[in-house]
Amino acid sequence: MFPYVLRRVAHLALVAAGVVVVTFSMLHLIPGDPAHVIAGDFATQESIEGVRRRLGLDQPLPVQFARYVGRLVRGDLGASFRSNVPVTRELGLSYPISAQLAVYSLALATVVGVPLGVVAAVRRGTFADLATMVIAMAGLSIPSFWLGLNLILLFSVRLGWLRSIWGGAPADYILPSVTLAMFSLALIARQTRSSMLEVLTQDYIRTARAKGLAVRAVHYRHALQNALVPVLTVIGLNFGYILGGTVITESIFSMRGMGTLLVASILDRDYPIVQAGILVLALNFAVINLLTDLLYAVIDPRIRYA
Amino acid sequence: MRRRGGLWRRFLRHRSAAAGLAVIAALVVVAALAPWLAPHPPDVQNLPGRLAPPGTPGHPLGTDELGRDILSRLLYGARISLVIGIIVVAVAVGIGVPAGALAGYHPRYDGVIMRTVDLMLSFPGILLALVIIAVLGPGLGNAMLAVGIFSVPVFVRITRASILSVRELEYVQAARAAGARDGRILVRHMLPNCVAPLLVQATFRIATSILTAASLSFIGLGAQPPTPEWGAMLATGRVNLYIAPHVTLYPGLAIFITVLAFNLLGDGLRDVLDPRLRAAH
Repeated sequence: MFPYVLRRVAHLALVAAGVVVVTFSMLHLIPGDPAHVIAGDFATQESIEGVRRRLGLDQPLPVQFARYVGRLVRGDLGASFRSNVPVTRELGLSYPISAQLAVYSLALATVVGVPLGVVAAVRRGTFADLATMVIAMAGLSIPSFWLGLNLILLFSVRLGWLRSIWGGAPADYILPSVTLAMFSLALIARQTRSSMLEVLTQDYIRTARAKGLAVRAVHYRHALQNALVPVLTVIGLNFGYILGGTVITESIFSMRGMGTLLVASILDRDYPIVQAGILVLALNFAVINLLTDLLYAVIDPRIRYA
Repeated sequence: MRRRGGLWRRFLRHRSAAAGLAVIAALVVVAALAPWLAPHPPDVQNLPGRLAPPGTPGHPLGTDELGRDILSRLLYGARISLVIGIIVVAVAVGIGVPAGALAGYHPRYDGVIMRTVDLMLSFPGILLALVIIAVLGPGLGNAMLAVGIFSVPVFVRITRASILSVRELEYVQAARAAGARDGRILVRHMLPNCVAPLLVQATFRIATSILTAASLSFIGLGAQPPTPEWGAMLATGRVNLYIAPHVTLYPGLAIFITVLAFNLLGDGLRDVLDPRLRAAH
């Protein structure tokens, strides 16, 4: 297993390098003159020159890249164009909000999605199965921003149970987490159902039943454990969806997370924040992918990494 | 020919898929006939009659914050959403299928193409689309391009996997032995094998693309007002969420139904076209 871990960590470094190159390239891929674009439509020649010097765009590309990497290594992500606040401080405020939202959502999607899928598979063809699959299909198709607004209408306006104004309190995460979890919950339920159904037709399940084991034990001890491997893949992949989805969800609920920061910065062309935000989210995703792959080996003894 | 008839019948017997196709057909008709079906032009403002509730005479679904007829805007919005879905998937297929075929057929290009795909997939969720919009700037055209590029990897992977699975088969060897050129072998003999999985994926991808593009419009990075795009309509309507929820209700419902229809169709196509998967679902 150790060489495999080593190889995966090396791969992680490679992905990180790729992401650094992409975020560095962003400024240089802007159509036209980036200094002109950033300075705005009515900028004077002087202010354009100022922007160019400030961003180091007057230097040769390799020098610019070396500087960029050098600053990254020291943990210096630059300062916001607009507020001149260090990017690390902006991210430090917004990152915990997005991270909590993502973790709660994924946990909710898993804790609800897996049992739903198991019940649907075990009671295949019954009303419970049909109802679960209809809910899952709806969950895949519903626009998250519409779901979120409807939840606000129902729980904040009509019932008055939860406030709709973001204040950072634990209860303020409930509606956003439900909103963001719905799509992943649906995918996880569908994947759990289909891999359970596949496992339930295997010979060893029939054997377990034939030797008189309780149905419950067969389903939950024998079948679910083996059905979980593909489910884990879907959960891991969904973390990516959820990280990206925070952007939309935070906008619905006016949360001051990284998504809101990113969108505002894209609209403002505040590139240091955009670059750093994307870098941080992509690196988080890479680490989660690594952890998911390592978890396979723990759950499924058939997987042996050389 | 007989086999195709069998597929069509099997498809029609798949009730949810047939329902999905019927809804899509209805949407296409509505989109095509929007100028004739809409009771009002989509962008005519009437400030005294703003935020009229559903059921107001002349405005069956009410009016929005500028007094524009919501039903008319929804009908025109159907055009935009369907065009978005089709263009996005066309971009993704147009780049993804040739790249995947090349990667599967020529080991020489496999490494560089698949590493590029890996890099694209290292941006979680819609973040890759955000990167592209950050560079190109907000707007519906750029959002469609961004969602299209964001959808390329899945088509590269499916095409490559299908090509790899038939590359060493005897009928391909036979074609090669008969002197067929690479391009001909790829297009005439190998790509037809990918049609079924690609069709299924393209259908799902239209659903995802409509949803993603609407999300981008909702956060202000896609279609800009006054375009009657459904996501953009929701974004402007949310300001009056408490006093006029109908302004956000109908566009959201329209997105939901459209995406649901394509998802149902995709599920059905997969069941019908892929007998291996049918056992599991």
